[in-house]
Amino acid sequence: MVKADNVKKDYTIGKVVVHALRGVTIDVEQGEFMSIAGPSGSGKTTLLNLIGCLDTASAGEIYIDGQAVSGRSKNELALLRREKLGFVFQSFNLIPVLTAIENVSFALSLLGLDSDTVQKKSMQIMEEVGLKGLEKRFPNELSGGQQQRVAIARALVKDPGIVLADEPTANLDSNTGKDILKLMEELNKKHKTTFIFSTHDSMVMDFAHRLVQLHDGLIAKNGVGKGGGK
Amino acid sequence: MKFLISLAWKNLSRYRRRTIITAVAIAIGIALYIWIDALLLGAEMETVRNLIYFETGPARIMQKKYWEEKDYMLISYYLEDPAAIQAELKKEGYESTQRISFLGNIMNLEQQEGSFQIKMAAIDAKTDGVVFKLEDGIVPENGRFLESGEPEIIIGKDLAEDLDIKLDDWVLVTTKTAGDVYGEAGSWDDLELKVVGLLSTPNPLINKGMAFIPLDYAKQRLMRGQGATDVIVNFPAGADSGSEVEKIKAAIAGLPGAGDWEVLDYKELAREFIMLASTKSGGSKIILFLFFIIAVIGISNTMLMAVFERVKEIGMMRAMGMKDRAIVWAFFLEATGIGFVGSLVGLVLGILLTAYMVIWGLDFSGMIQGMGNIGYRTAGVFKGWWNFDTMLSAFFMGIIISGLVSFIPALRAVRMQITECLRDK
Ligand SMILES: Nc1ncnc2c1ncn2[C@@H]1O[C@H](COP(=O)(O)OP(=O)(O)OP(=O)(O)O)[C@@H](O)[C@H]1O
Ligand SMILES: [Mg+2]
Repeated sequence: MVKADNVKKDYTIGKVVVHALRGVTIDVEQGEFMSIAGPSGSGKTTLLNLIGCLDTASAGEIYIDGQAVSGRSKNELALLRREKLGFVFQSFNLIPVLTAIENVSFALSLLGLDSDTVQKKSMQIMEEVGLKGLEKRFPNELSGGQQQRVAIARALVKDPGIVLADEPTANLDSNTGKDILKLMEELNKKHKTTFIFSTHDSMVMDFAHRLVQLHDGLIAKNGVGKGGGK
Repeated sequence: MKFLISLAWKNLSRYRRRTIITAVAIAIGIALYIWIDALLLGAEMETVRNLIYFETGPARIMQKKYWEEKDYMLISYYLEDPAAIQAELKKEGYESTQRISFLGNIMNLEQQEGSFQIKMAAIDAKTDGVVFKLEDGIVPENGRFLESGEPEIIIGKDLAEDLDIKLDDWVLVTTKTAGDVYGEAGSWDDLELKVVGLLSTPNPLINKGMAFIPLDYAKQRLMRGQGATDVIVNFPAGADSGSEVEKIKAAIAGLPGAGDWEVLDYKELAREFIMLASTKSGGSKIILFLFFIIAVIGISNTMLMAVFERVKEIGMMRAMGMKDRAIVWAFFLEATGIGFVGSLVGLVLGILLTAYMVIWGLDFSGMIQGMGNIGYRTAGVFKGWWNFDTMLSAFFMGIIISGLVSFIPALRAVRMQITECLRDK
């Protein structure tokens, strides 16, 4: 499903080179519920960005569905993200001028589906994330947790195969964060969608079925997670 | 596409304050542009009108030689039988009048000092009005128009002031006669003339430096009773002057001596002046251009802000697989929307301002007198004129330019790394 093969990423600031990732290899199967954990600066965001085809590796290769992503044009990458990847961000990143449901259907309309299908699928996913009745609200009329639910609906509505979430609960209090993780877990089970989320919060890690620990740009531990938030 | 349009519309209505402020700025720019253009066009039309009514007439027939040496206004190059020319023209439906145009030295007869060389015309008091509007330049308290056969003169009111002359005073005009032999300048003659009217026309050049005497008196004193230097022909305002000139030429072609005559329209007659006026309007175009630049900077700034504020949103949309081109389009549509609203309001405002200028005009008379001769042959009230070309082009330019300037910040945003856009600040 997703593979990173000895991926390295360097950032150059002036004359200083930061080795954000120093050779990371992981293999993620379809339907995994996986967390990338590690202290601040360990390279979690960098890794997610590479898997999400938002950035290119300095060395190594990323495979999505068995296909290498390096050497593709900006447009090809955009199409790949559009079809196969969903994103959930720490700060929700909803379009403020669109209602909740419009934010969700935006993702679908990019795929060029007819408006009936768009409408139907959007309504359905809104119900699944527990926002039935709040479809017409604007983002600033929703709580943080509700906004993140909209974001999850937006990521999932197009059946992307993989959802990448960089610290999805960092802007939420711990109870709301737990609810969001439970929702993600539920959707993971139901849709068989692969979830990869990063965190430095041990409570969040506890939800993961598989836990990859990063340290200084290297994998320190790659093992089974507790799962279910225990 | 439909989505992009609705997104642009939603952004416009959501960020209402920004939309309104920018649209108002564009509207003011466009309205001012239209208004100033209307004023300039009005001034130009007024200038040409005053040029025709008071100086050149629509078209003029004279000896080629007279025209070649026009700076000297040599009356020895006269048309021998202007009445015959007028009769031929009449057959074709053209009204006309004859004049003797010459240079004269004028001085206050009483004071006998300080003479001015001025352009003078001997005019046919009965028919001059079919072409010129001099008579309108004399209000009753400034005397009366000329009467035939009398040794009298009407002069521009500013010239009268310079000569220290009042109504009913006498002036001395010294000028050359046509002489006995055709083509040779004659002797000098002194004319003692009574000032019967002071001219106050909308043409500052007339007021400042011209004087008029009766045609028959001038013929008798300067031309041995015969001839006139020019026949001035009227044709309707708005007619194509080039083809009118051709018709006039054809009408008089059969007369003896016609080969030696020149027929010129007002554009030729005032060629130097019209060139001057068009360089002046070139200057005004620069002012308009500056307006334009300021407007462009204003819109760019707004669009820059709009893009800057939404870098994260742009990053998110790109992450979700929206193509760069679509993002650039989205901002283009948004800017075009502001441009449309602003231009529409500006157009309406501009039309209202122009209507005011066409119907009532602005009274600048005090200012103009203070400035002296500024080249525009107009005095008093500045009136505007409709220029629909300008209105339409300003309207569409407003929209197009607004759209175009959105490209700069939008292109900059899509050139940023997506991860850069998305970073939490
Ligand atoms: N655009 C960049 N330019 C330069 N250095 C960068 C850039 N992005 C990340 N880094 C550096 O790379 C390293 C890894 O950063 P990264 O953001 O992946 O860490 P992280 O694990 O996500 O940390 P956090 O928990 O604080 O989000 C850090 O040392 C960081 O300073
Ligand atoms: Mg991070």
